[in-house]
Amino acid sequence: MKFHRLTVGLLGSLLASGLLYADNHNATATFSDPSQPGRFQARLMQGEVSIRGGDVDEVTVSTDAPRNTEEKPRDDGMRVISSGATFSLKEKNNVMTLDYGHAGGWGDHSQFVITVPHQTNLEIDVSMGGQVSVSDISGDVSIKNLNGEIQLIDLAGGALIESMNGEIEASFTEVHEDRPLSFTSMNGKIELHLPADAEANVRFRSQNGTILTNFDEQALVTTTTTGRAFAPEAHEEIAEFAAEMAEEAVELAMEIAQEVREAMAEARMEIKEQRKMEEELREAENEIRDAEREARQVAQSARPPRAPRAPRPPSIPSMAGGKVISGTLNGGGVDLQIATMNGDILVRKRE
Amino acid sequence: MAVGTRLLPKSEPSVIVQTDPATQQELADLRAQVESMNRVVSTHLLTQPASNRLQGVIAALNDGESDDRTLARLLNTLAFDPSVNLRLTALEALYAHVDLAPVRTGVLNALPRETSPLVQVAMIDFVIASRDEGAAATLDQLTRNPTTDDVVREAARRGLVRLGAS
Repeated sequence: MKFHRLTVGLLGSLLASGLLYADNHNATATFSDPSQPGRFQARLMQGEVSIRGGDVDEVTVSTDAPRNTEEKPRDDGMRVISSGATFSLKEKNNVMTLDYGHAGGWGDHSQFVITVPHQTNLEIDVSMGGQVSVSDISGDVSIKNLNGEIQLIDLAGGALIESMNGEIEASFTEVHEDRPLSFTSMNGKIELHLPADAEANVRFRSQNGTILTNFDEQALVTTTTTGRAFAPEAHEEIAEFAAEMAEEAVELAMEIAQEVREAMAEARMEIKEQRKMEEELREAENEIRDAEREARQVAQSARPPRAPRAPRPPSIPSMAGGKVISGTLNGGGVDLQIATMNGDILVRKRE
Repeated sequence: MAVGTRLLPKSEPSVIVQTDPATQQELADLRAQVESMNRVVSTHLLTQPASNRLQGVIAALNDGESDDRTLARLLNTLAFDPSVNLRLTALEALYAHVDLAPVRTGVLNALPRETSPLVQVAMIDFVIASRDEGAAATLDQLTRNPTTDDVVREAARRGLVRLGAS
C-alpha cells in the first residue's frame, strides 16, 4: 500500500514538472560573447529536438540521454573502452555544439528540450531523422532532417529548411529582405504562414504536388513558367520603361514646382506693400516648398527604387512535367524559395 | 572532412625515387593546386554557416553579375555545397547566364553527380531549356542508370522527347 502511494506520488510529481523521464539530465552553457547573437548547433544521429527562444542568457538542455562523462573517472574505478551513445555540449567562440550519437552508438530515440536566447542562430542536423520543433527565434534557422516533421513557430529571421520525407510547417511573425527563406522536401508537404504584409520574391517548384495559397491575386502575383521562357530582352525593356516613366514623373514634378515658384514671384511683386499679406505668403511659400520636396520624394520613389529587383532574371522553366511558379508577394522583397518533389506547397496568410 | 580532400586524396606518392626535376616541379605545382582548391572549398563550404552562404548566392541571383569569379563560385556551390537549398538557388542564379557555354557545361557535368532528386529535376529543366549539344547524351545516361530516382528518370525521359520533338 505504502509502495503504491509512493509510486503514484512520484509519477504525479514527474507529470507536474512535465518530465516523464525516469532518468533526466540537464546541461547548461553560456555563449562567450553574449553581446552578439550566438550560434547553436545540434548534431544528432537521431532523436527529437525541441528548441524554444526565451528571455534567457544561457542555454539549457534537458534530455533523457546520458551525458558524456569520459572526462571524469568513474566512481567504480572502471575505465571506459567503449560506451553507448552520450551527448556533449560544448562552447567555443560563441558557437555552441550539442552532439549526440556520433561517437559510439547511434543512440536511442532520445528527446532534447532546449531553451536558447531569442536571437540565437540555429543549425540543426538530424542524420537519421526525428521530429524537430523550433519556436520564438529571431535568429536564422537552418535545419536538415531525414524523416520526421519539422515544425517552426513564430520565427522572425531567415530559414533554410531541408527534409527528405517529413512535413514542414513554418510560421513567421516578420520577414526581412536580407534574410532569405528556403524550404525543400522530397516527399513531405510544406506549409508556410506569412504575415499579410510580408514582401517577398517567390519561387515555387513542385514536380508532382499541388501549390495553394489564400493570399489574393493582388498580393501574390505569380506567373507559371513553362516552355522556353528565357527572354532577357523583355525584362530589360520593362526595366527601361519603368526608368523612363520615373524620369518623366520627376520632370513633371520639377515643372510644377517651377511654375509654382514663378507664380509666387509675380504674386510677391504685386503685394509688396501689403506686409500682412506678405507674411501669409511667406508661410504659403514654405508650405509649397514642403509640397515641392514631397513631390520630389514621391517622384523619386516612383523612380524604380527596386531597380535591382525589377529586372530579376527569369526562373528555370519547367520542361519535364513539373510546375514552376515565380512572382512577387506585396511587391517583392525577401527571396522565398519552396521546392518539393511529391508534396504539396501551401502559402497561407497569417490570421 | 573537406569535399576537396575526398575528391583529391592528399596521400603522399609511394614512389620515392623521383629524379626528373621537371616531373618534380609538376608534382609540386599539382600539390599546390590541390591545396589551394582545398582552401577554396573549405573557406566556402565549411567555415560559413548555411544561411550566410545562402545570402551570398541570393546576392549573385539578384545582381545577375556574370564575371568569372561569381560564376565559378556559383558552379562551385552547385557541385559541392552540402545543402539542397543552396544548390537549387545556385542553379537558379546560373540560369541567368545560360547563354554562356561554360555555365551550360558546368551544369551538365554536375547533373550525373547530383545526389538530390529535387535538384536533379531542376537541372534537367535547366539543360533542356539551355538546349546544349551535350544535353541529350547526359539525359540518356540518366535514364539508363538503375540508381536514378524514378521521378528523375521520368523527367529525363520527358526531356529527351522534348529535345527530339522541338
